This record gives sequence, C-alpha cells and structure tokens, in this order.
Amino acid sequence: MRSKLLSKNNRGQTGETITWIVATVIIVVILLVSILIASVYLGDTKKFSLTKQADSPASKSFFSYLLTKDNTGVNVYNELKKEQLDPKIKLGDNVKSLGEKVFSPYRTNYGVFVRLTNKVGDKWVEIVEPKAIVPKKNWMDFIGNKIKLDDDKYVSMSFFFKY
Amino acid sequence: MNKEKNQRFFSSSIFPKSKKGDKIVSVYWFAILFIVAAAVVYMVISFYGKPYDIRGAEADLLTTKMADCLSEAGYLEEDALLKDFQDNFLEKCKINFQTEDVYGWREQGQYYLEVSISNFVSGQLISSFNAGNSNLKDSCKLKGAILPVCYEKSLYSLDKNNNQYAINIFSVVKKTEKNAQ
Repeated sequence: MRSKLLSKNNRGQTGETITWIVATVIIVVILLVSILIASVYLGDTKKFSLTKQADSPASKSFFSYLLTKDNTGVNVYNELKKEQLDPKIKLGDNVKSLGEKVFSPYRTNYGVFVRLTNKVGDKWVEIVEPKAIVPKKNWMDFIGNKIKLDDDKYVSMSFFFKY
Repeated sequence: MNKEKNQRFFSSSIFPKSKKGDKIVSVYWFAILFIVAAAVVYMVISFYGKPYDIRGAEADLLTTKMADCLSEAGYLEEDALLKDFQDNFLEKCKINFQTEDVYGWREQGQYYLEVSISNFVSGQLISSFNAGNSNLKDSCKLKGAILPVCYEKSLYSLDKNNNQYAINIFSVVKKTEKNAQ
C-alpha cells in the first residue's frame, strides 16, 4: 500500500516538475518577445512633432493669393465672391492656375484643397485640388483657413496628411 | 471517517516535506524574479534611454517665425527688400540663436537660417540673406543618422503694387549631441 502511494507521489512530482519547466519556458519566451518588440519599435530616437493643425507659411500664401489682382485690378477674393456655388460653373482660368501654382510647393507635405464652399460644407467647388486620390484610411485633414465671402459662401483651404 | 483516514495517509509522518526541494523552488523563484526584473529594466532603458529629437519641431518653429516676420496680412513686409532689414533680420524678427553652453555649442553655432526672395512669375532671384553657421548647410546633402536637421518651406506673397514674390525659407538645426544617438 505504502509503495503504491510512493510511486504515485513520484509521478506527481515528475508532473509538477514538467509544469515548472513549461512555465519557465513560457515566461522566458514572453520576455524575449517583449524585449524584441521594445528594441525594434521603441529603440529608435523618438521624434517629437508638433500636432499639425496649422501651417503658417501656407496660410500666408492663402491670404496673398486672395489679395492678388488680375489685369483688370480685381482681386481673387472679389472674383470668388461673384462665383456661384455651382460645380458646373467654371472658375476663371487665372484664379485656378494661380491657385495651382501658389499651392504646389505644399504638395510635398500635404494634399491641399482650396475650395469655394458654403457654411455647412455640403456644397463646394474645387479651386485647387490634390493631384492624387485621397485615401480614406490613415489620413487626417484640417482646415487651414476659412474666409467668409458672402452670407453662406466661404473660401477655405484644407490639408490632408498621412499620420 | 474515510476522510480522516486519508488525511492520516498523506500526513507528514508518511511523506515528510522535503526541505531541499523547498530551497530549490525558492532559488528558482528568485531566478525568475531577477530575469523578469532585468527584462523590465532593459525595456525601460531601451525606451527612455533614447532622447526625444525635437530639432524638426524647432526648425519648423524657426521657419514659421521667419514667415510671420516677412509676410503680414498677405503682404510682404515693406522693408524686407532693404539692405538694413536683411543685415539685421534676426533682431528685426526677434529671433535669437542662443543655446545652452554645453558640448561647445555656443562657439560652433547650432542654427542656420537662409531666406531667398524671388520673382514669382519669372523665378528670378531678387534677394537672399542668411545668418548662423553656414557650414551646417553642407550636411543637408549627406545621408546618415547623426546629422543636422534641414527644413525648407516656401510661401507666396505680394507687395502693395501687386508684385508677386516667392519666398523660400531654409533652416538647419544641429544639436546632434542631445537629440540624435
């Protein structure tokens, strides 16, 4: 009876030892994986960037763009004021081409929209639009400037960028 | 009754507790504790041991400050094309290049700022002025991890006579000793 119990006890001890070994291996593996992740993803120098909700040089360009006069002495702001929020209406070539040229340097950092829009933002006419299609995932956008033209008419500049 | 019998069978008189086994388990626990502690310390060091690189943000702020100084309400600063302004633009724009007095930073100069104003229509350069350590400019062409940060931004402006200008602001910040490893 006693020897039977002793043999059962030995088996129990073996089982317990295996449990310990397996537990140790699991702990070591988890630690190694954590260290690997820490060194691969967190080991680099941490970049500090300002949260982009404004771009001062682009805003300044936007104001200057609106103040630019054509040959007849009418500035872009007043020309846009005359335009209706109808996508079928073609904006003056000078307004559009000047916009393309003014905002093209920012295309390396963002996609840039300059739009004629209403207050709610459900109607708009593109003045400058990004060359590439705007992907919906992993992109953020912010309105750089929005200037009132009329009661329900605005000209706005917005950016979208990858985060 | 049976329960009592069973308890007697498994009592310490039949299976005395092994003191040696207890010691081994204690050592094992301590070993695991040290391994876990060492791993936590390693992970903390690997994250917090590396510095934050703020030079990109610093160069961005420098450029923004310069842009604010050169163009206001859509118009180019009236004096921007005058020699007096260009010679003292740091003072006029309230920018200073002072740094901490470590790693010989003050003697070397850790910043460089260059402004070019050209005709927006023809692209012809009208004026260019700069300040700071001009040697830093050369490092922008190099590739590597421990190098100064270069930042370039342009803006469009015009004067009261509707003359159009393209302004290019180029800034470099070194400070590699504290920001890059």
